[in-house]
Amino acid sequence: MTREQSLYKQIADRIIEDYGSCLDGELLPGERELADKYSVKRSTIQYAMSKLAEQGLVYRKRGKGTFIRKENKRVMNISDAAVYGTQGIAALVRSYGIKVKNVVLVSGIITGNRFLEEKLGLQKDEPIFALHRVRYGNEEPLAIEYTYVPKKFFTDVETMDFSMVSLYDYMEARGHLPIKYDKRLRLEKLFPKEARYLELPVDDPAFYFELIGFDADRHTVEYTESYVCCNRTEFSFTTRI
Amino acid sequence: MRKRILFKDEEITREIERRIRDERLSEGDRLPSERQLAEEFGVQRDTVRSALEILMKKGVLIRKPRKGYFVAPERIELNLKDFSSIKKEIESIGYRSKSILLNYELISMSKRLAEITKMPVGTLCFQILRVRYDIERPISLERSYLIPEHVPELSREDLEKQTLVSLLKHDYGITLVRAFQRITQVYGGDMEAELLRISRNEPLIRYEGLLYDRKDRLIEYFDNVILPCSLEIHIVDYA
Repeated sequence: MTREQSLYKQIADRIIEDYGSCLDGELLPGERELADKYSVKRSTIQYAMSKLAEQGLVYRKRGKGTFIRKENKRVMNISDAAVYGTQGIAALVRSYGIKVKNVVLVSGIITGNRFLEEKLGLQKDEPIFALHRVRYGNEEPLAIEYTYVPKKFFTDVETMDFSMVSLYDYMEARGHLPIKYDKRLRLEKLFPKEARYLELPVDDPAFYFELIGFDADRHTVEYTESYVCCNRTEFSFTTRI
Repeated sequence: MRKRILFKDEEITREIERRIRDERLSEGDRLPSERQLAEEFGVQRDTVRSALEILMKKGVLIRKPRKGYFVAPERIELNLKDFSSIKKEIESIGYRSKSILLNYELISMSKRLAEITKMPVGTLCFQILRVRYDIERPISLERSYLIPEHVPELSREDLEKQTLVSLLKHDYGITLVRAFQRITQVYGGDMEAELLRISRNEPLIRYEGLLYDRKDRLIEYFDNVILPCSLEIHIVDYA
């Protein structure tokens, strides 16, 4: 272990020692103040904070600072056991006892977007219903999701209020629930728009998913792009080789 | 007034991505200039530039000064269901992947390692440390842990000669049948910064796995950190 490494560890330990008794959600002093207090460089404080965030002991909010996390430290697993996308975040979060809220940013019909038409296997100019949502768990943003479904399978989709109704319940009711997924996962840095909705600093990391869902008749029924906060999520599963 | 669903620059990023895919453009292929794209899409150059910047940040494009925009190197696709090694993936897209063995030693398990492997603290195990390169670029730092009992004659030469999977199979008759894998995000430390040529505190993908054989014995625990721009994880599954 290098001296630098042990230094940030010591600082991380001292932060927890000194502020561990703070309440959940309490704001920590700023980096400059902590750097003065422990007589170290700001970069060491930043690094110690990153490490604490990684362990779920603190969290950062854009433009506000770093906060202590006491509750829901448990990591959410976006795995195939509770497939991210199958029953959606709602079911996943329900199984962790977290209260879910959806905020619809915008919804409506798009036509003539060839990128989306190809993702959904549609002909040119077939209408697509777009649904952009921010998903919250216990009032904290978890993910921003841009979902697109072919209008032809969901003719009354525009009349639904997806801040109240689960999209998957609705898709199931219309006989086109996705049962097979093709998912792509990357780690990206947040753009200003997503950072704003997730209340995180711009360029903070987030899991980026692209997901195509197929129903029992192998129709493509969903294409979703989503940014999921990293700090409390992991992605794990067991495979037979 | 109706709210706009996709902004013009967001539409353009998707259209450019679509073309790269449909026209089978590959690494190093050049895109039309900002001016040409602006004319074609009927928008201001600022809008095109904003779209191109999004695509650079997403690792789809790279910019070369005074030369323009080019398709970025392809990401390595890690297929989690198939459990193929990263090496195989890299080879399958035509790169020469090279893994450099940095260290190989017998250590006693730390508390953290013991918790993960469910073995007693202090259990002896081999720690293998490697850096993987995609051509000249380091892309991942790979740590593997093996129990000496399963691989009693493990040597540096063995490790340099072949992959762990084939070593286990051919020299020790061990076939891996089950894997528990986990993806999380971590921040690079000093070691990652030095070996992967990044700055400290860069977000990285952590890819860990516990591998079991037919007798359900834990054979290997691996703990890799990978540069985000090099990797895309692909999963096909059923609900």
